[in-house]
Amino acid sequence: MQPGLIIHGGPILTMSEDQPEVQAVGIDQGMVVAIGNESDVRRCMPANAETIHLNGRLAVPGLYDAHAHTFMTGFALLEVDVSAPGVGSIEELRQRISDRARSTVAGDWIIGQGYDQASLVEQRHPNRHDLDLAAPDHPVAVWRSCHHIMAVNSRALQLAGIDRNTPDPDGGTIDRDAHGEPTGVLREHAIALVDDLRSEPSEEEIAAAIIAGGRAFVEHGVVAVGEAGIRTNTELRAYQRVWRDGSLPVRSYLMMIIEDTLDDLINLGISTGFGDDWLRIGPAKLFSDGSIGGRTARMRRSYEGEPDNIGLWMMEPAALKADVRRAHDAGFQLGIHAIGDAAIDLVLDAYEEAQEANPRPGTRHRIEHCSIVDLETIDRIARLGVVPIPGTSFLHYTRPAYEQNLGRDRYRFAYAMKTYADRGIVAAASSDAPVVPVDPLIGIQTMVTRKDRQGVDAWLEERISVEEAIRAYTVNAAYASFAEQRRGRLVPGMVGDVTIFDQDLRAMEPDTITSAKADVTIADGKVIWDRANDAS
Amino acid sequence: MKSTIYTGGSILTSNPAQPRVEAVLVSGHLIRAADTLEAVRAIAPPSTETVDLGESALLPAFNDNHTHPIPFGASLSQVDASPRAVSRLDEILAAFRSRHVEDQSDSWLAGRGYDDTRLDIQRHPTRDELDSVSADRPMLLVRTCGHLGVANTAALRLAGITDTTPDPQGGQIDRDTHGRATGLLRETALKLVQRVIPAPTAAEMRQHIQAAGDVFLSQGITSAADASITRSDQLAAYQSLAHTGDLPFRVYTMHLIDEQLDTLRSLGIQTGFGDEWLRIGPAKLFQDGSGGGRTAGMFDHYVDQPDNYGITYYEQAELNERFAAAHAAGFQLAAHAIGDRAITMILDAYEHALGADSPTDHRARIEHCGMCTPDILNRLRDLGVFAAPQPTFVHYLGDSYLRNFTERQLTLAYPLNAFQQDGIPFSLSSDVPVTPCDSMVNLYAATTRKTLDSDDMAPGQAITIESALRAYTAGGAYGSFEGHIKGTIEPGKLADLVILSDDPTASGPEALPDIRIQRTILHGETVFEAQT
Repeated sequence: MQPGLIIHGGPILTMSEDQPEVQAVGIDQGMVVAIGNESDVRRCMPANAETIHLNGRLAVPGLYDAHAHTFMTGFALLEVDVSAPGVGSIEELRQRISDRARSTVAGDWIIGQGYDQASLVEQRHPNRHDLDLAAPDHPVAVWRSCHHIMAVNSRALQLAGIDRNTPDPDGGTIDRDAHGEPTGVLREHAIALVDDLRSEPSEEEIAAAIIAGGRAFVEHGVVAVGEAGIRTNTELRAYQRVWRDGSLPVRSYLMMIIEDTLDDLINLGISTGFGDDWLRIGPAKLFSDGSIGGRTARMRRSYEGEPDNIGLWMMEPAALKADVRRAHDAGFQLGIHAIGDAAIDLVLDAYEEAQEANPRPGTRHRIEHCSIVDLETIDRIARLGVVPIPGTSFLHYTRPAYEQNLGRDRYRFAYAMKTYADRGIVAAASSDAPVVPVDPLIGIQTMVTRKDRQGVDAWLEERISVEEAIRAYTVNAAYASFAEQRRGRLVPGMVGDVTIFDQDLRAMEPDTITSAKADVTIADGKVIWDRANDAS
Repeated sequence: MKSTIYTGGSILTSNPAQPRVEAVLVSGHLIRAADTLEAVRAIAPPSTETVDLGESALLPAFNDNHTHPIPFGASLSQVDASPRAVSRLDEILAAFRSRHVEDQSDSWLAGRGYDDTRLDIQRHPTRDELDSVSADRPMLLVRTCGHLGVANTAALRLAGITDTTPDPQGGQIDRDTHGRATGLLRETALKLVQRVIPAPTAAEMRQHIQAAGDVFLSQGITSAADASITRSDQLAAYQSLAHTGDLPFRVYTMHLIDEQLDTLRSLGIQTGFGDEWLRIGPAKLFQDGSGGGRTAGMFDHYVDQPDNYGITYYEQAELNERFAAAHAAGFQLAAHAIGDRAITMILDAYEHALGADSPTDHRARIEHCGMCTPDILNRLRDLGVFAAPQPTFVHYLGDSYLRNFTERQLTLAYPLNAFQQDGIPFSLSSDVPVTPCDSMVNLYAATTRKTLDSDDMAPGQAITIESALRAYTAGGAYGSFEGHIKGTIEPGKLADLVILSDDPTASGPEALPDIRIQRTILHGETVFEAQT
């Protein structure tokens, strides 16, 4: 039996039309029981309720990131961080690796990520000798920040069978020294020679990654995540393990990769929605195309400077439509990664045809990222009742790459939160971590300013208010997962999930919003993170 | 969000730390407080309604921990051949005949619930008797236990059963002295026919669940375990109702190993996944048949049948393998076992599957767990097994048991008192439609051990009303690992409640059948109210 919780003394945005802003919230048995002014709320709460005084800080319903990769974020965190500015030399990089080696079983892999040779004093890639010195008893592999180059040690090369006689694979390079010996630096497809050696993570390893990744979200005020991909039964078991143990840090709505899971789900009669408020089967998921940065998003017109390149299909359009039909008929919500405008056209065609053949109202089929659209496509999205899940943090980092690859005009309506809202389209915010960082304030700032991290504008027409940005992270995300009866608002009967920021975001200079922090994260009426105690 | 105070009558909580309270505050779907009226009033919001219980009693709602809701719902629109509806064969045939005439299609004619020991003919009906209604339209009449049934000629033909078809493993096709199939099919032989009956549509399945739900709620039952999930359309039906908020009762699903374990394992779903409405339960199998039908697997032969020791479905090695696989895949284990030999084999298999692990809170279940011995009781206790017996078997089927088993065998039949004394956790259930899900009869049978004919079946095994109530509420919750969210009246738990016309502890077990269910509350909402 947990004591009740009263939050008061600051602005509380409820996301409810009736009482959009209140001064106090009372949570009992994990459920909001009263909102309003402080005395009204106290009257409904037990005398021994705990209290949190906001001191003018802003409180909102617990934030919900509708599309991110929790355990992949965790794996990235568990890897040795060798990025700048923490690491500025090969010496420092070696130190970090050897520190990790001391607590790693001999023979186990040590993985590092994030180096950039341009940020190192020596101005060169780490080589096998550097890494041999760092960890003589372990195979070591260190990713460059771009993830297209990897540096490995001798033990790793030996396990991979890479020596002076090994030819470069198609689409890859094994760097060699003046004597023809591999230096340890591998590029593109050569990376697979080493990466494929590592076994699939175990259930315990994935469980640890869920916890580490989930904690990262919680420490930024996020209580719920749309986990963007379950492929294996090991991953699903890992989620259930941490859920059962009570150590699942974030509510998780699981996107089930169709190729790997749909047959079994159909054979059991389980579809979208099975589960509880902490762990629930979400949409059936597919990938239609690639990314803008890699020039693999499928476009109507070619990429700038490459007349023959309109990107690629991750699967044949006919096969995609067939999978959509099957999942739709089996009662699933669909969630399809589609970035390029031609990919989005295809996905909308697939949804429309599936509905025509088998009308199912209220499916809330989603488009993940939904990046390159025009007004006509947006109108189509509205007509079909489709739910976009825009990458609302992307432009902060990627605006220059969009400019370079597509030209300014084509990203006019990328992540167009104002236009979506004007047309009554419910669009849920997402980070797609670890592709970009977890911090929802990046997304909020980007939605509010429409500027990238250099301050360059990315179509100011799409700016929205702080409240609307928070709506995208609460009400809209709940809607995208059929959870709006229980979550996304602070009204009596809803779950007691609250995010408290260190100040009132609405009063800040919009360009500085990312300097704010999440102070307290509350789920089911329990404080699960408090910056003051750093209760981790 | 609605708030209600219940007060002014008897409130029994099933919580040994606080067995009675003065008032309960329900807000939304949760119990917010169970305390003095003053304490409850202190935190109730201004708009709170107060219900004065008067002579009535408020309890946690009932959990029928072993049921078959979909066949039960279906049976409500089938011929009722139970002793409560008929006593003569010609009444059963007349009921079939009028259905045959009403609906002239060639769809199956189904009937359920006959008890040969309570029919005028004192034997099972025959295929020829069913053929007198129709030889061309398939007909199946299932015995009350669900393990035996009589098929007509058309049904046998559709199932591919001829006079020379061999008995399947774990079953029997009864034949007359000329070797002709009589129509009576036992255990797996019955399945040969059931397999060819067209499955209900998705909409029909939902209707069956709703029909079952109407009866459950009228009996104060808000939670039920579905003891036999074999096909995708069953779970899909439950889930589609849950998705629209129309699931009439909470469901815990038992998944048949041979049909489903491979797929469950391939996906990675495990026991416990789900929510308070619909949750994946154990991996289960059937190891024997029924006591009433003389197919429960026993060490000693049945009375007057020196060659009949009952049936066991699986060899020991097969049991061991299945349960080891289910346990490794993360499932709670469950097995139907009524006879002492069947129970013993299951205990051996559980030891094999669970033994290697350090003690886990496995709550492996034995469904029915009927014909126990002192050795079985010791092993149940030592292994931490959970028992799911049916006091309604004692009442509705006890007279058959008294004829089928020796006095020695019956000493520890459905031994609730021994379970209680030995600290073996248990629930109460009805196995509906095998016996009716009548809550007060279930409690009456648990506390008096009286059969329909007013005989006693192992009277030393009666338990107190308090123990019976606890098993029928908190016991079932324990059996599904949900003791933290339901089964008692305590703050933070689900507002699943029942209002009875009288305090069941006030007037002794004999008064129980006269107590009426007045109101049933599920998830904070009133879902059943008796006509006054």
